[in-house]
Amino acid sequence: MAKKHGYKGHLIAFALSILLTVLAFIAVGLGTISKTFVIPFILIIGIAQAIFQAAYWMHLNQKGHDFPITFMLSGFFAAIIVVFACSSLVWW
Amino acid sequence: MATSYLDKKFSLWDWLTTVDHKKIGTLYFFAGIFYFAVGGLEALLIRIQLMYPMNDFLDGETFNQVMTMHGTTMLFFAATPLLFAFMNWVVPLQIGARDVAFPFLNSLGFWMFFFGALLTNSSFFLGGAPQAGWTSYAPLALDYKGTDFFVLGLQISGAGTIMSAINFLTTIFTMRAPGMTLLRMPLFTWSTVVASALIMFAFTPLTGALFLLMFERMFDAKFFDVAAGGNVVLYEHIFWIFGHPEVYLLVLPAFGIISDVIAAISRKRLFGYHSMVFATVLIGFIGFMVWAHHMFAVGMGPTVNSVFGIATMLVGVPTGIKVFNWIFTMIGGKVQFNTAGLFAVSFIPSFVIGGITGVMLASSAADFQFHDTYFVIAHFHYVIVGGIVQAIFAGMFYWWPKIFGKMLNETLGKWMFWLFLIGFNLTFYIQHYLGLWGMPRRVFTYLPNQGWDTANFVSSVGAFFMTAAVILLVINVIVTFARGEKAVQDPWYGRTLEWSIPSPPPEYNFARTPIVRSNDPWWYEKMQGKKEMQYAEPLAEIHMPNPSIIPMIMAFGTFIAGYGFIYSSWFGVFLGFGITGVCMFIRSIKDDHGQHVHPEGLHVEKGVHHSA
Repeated sequence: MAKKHGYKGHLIAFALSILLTVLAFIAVGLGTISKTFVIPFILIIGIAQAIFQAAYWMHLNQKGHDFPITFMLSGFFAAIIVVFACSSLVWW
Repeated sequence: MATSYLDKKFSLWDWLTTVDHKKIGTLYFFAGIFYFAVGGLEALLIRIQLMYPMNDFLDGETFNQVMTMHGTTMLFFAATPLLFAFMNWVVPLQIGARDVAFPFLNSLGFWMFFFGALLTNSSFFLGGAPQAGWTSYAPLALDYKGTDFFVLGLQISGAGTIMSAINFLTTIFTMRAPGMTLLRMPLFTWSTVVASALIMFAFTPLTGALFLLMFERMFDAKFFDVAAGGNVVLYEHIFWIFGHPEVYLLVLPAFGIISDVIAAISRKRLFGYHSMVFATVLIGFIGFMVWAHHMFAVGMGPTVNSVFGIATMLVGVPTGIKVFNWIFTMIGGKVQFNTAGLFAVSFIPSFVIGGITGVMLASSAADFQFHDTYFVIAHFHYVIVGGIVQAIFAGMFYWWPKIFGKMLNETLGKWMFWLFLIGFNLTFYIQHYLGLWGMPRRVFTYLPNQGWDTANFVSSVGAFFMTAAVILLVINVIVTFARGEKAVQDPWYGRTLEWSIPSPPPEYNFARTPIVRSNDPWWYEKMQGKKEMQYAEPLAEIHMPNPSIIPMIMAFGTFIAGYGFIYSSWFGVFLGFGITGVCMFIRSIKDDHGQHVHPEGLHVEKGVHHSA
């Protein structure tokens, strides 16, 4: 992972993120795919997109980013707990 | 003899503008002790009222105010700043740093706390304090004017607390001396890391919960109005998502203090250092997954209750690791029972009792019986008074010589310890039984002949013992300042870096940054026959931050804005935020490069530096 953060890695990430964006637009734009598939599908490629962004463009795949990553994940963890509490315990 | 940070000047202006972590620690300490006394007085009033059945010392409304402010003051305005005082005093010294990463932010954090606490407590004189309990549950709290003071005071001091947490995380991650790897950090520093992370992630939900309350009170929002699609347990969930990590972020630094003190008084390296670090992190992590155990009686159903009950019992595992490690540290050591040592040793059984009742409360079926009785009161006072307060006292006696250069009086200290130990057990042990006999919490009086009379009397007598103990402590501090015995550099045969520098330390802490070659670096160097640490750099000019009055004015602006919100005065809000905004603007455009100070022993000739 650490060795890959050169020019090539960025190009691949760039191409992939465009591909993911296009896929999302196609999935919605076609209008023929069922909603039950499209919504989870674009959510999942959205998450993949976010990971690409964080890893390549925010440079989190490079060395010395252990603490930012740890704390971002902890932040997500705390945020998910709040969402979970509201969605499944308060308004269940 | 190096000039200490206390020698320089001693004016009020100097204290208002200081950005030195030791002085800010001192400010936190005395503000915390003041609110500890205020909260203690409130506790005493509560116990006097409950001393006899049908007592009319306080009426119901006053009792509710005093009880609410006792909880709020003790948790937010006493325990938190006292622990921040130790973090400020000790953490930079333990990691070999000259100050914290953001000295300006550090000062701002203190003043935000100070004005937030002042705002909340001013409610006593401005039409009644908050009276819905320290949890301030939503539909009930909405009926009282005092809730506004609760919300805005905590919002301001909470923002200060988050700033300080970010500051400590940055300091510890970026400013450690060479060789001070993460797994060589003393336990108090480690617990500061975890507690700061908990503050960052727990105070954010609190801010959210307080905003809900504020919008409901001031702008007629409908978050808790069932008819409009709101939900009454929404606040409870968000509050406890904050509230449970809150108690862990208070107790973890207490664990850290105890770990350092026990290693020092046992003259032994801490047993199971790595498992202690692991347990600290694990407690912090699990702390986020147990909040609903405060709400078993809400009616979330047996599945949710069991899941949260089991998650809660899991906390007992890392805590157990810690308790056994402390005991194993003492076994085979030469345990010194000085005052710090006494408090540290008595911390263990007191905390274990609190932990055991905690596991009892975690079993949700039993909790339906315990809920809202004095059993709960007894449980959390064993954890907070037996745990956190005793740790604070231990830390106080342990680090006082380092910070103030004088030894606290041991005779007075031991008297205080025994008075406190007796008083605290007398007050709270019997409350377990009061709870089991059915006495509900948060009642301002009770009928005679229900079997509660004697127990309540005993409990109140204990409160007087604790009061006497705290008065002895205050006397001890005054006597020590007046004519205390001067402290040597290393009075406890310490193990960590703070004991390798003079007491009190110079302004810049370390004239030369030390190299850390082992866990317990100072002990290691002493065992190698060295009289001082190995140094990482030659003696040179030291870059230090400039003092500034801006943080205080900036925090004062939020204080005015707080009153503006409470009295629905847009003028007040704009004036307050205007002051804060102007301060931020000045801070942003004014370059402040800090100053260079000359450490002791560095001679300057014609602009060329030679070390002596």
